[in-house]
Amino acid sequence: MRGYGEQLYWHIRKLVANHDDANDLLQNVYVKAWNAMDTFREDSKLYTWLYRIATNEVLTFLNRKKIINFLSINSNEAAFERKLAADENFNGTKVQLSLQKAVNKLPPKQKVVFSMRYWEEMKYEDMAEVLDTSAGALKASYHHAYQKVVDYLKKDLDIEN
Amino acid sequence: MKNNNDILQREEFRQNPFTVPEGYFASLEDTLRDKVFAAEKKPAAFVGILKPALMMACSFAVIFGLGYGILSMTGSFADKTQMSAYDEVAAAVENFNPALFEYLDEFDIENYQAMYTPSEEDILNYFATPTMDASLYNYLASLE
Repeated sequence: MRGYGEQLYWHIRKLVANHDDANDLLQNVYVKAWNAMDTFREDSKLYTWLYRIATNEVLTFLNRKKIINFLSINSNEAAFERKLAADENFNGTKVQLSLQKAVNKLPPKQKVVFSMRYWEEMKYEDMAEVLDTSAGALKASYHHAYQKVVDYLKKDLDIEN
Repeated sequence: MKNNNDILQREEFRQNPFTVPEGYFASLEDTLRDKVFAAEKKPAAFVGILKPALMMACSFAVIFGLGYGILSMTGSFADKTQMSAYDEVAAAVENFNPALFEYLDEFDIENYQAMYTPSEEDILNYFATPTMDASLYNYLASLE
């Protein structure tokens, strides 16, 4: 499994934004992958398999966070913005911060699809293998996510149509 | 993704705004290897093995506690001042006059039967008395 750490880290980091969360999740991914090595089938690429474990781990994390945010009396959006703006490992501009806020508002699965396609520029076929979904469904999901992000950015950055 | 949506085609959006602490990736593989080996060697804690059983026991205790509390509050449990049928009988027996027990101890059932079992003569006398209902007398006469 050596050599995949950095790629997997960035896959996770772009989804959770925070370095400490990404680091914890990456370690969990490696422990889980190691313990489940017996179930790894040779017909699948090791990287794809690890990617799938990482994505599932992130989805679990995001869903749990979503429930916590739902129960919280504080505004999720404001808290996310404050945390990211204060993060010493975030050097984004105002528009990049706005994009992070827009992506943060997406449902967990759409967030994963958007990130894999937009930032990682993965092919739909490869995404389908990782997410165990059809390429057609992923295209539709990406289209919805993309439109939501654009709408949010226009509003947040006060951009004319 | 065109026209109004071209905003996301800006290069600025695609750039990675995140950084990592200095030297993070240099030590990442070693950190991950250590983490995996530590998790592998770590024996399952005794509490960890018992955890499912403890969880189940706690669940039963909570359910029992809740049930007991609800029944107590609603008065469904017998009031301590209210005796069960068994207690009532026991208390009544205790309140009996001791003389009754002495009488029962000395009571001779065989003698009682001998004393009160009517003789054949008693029966005949009984039926011969004029107080006997006429219809019954006629019925007994018809049996002969």
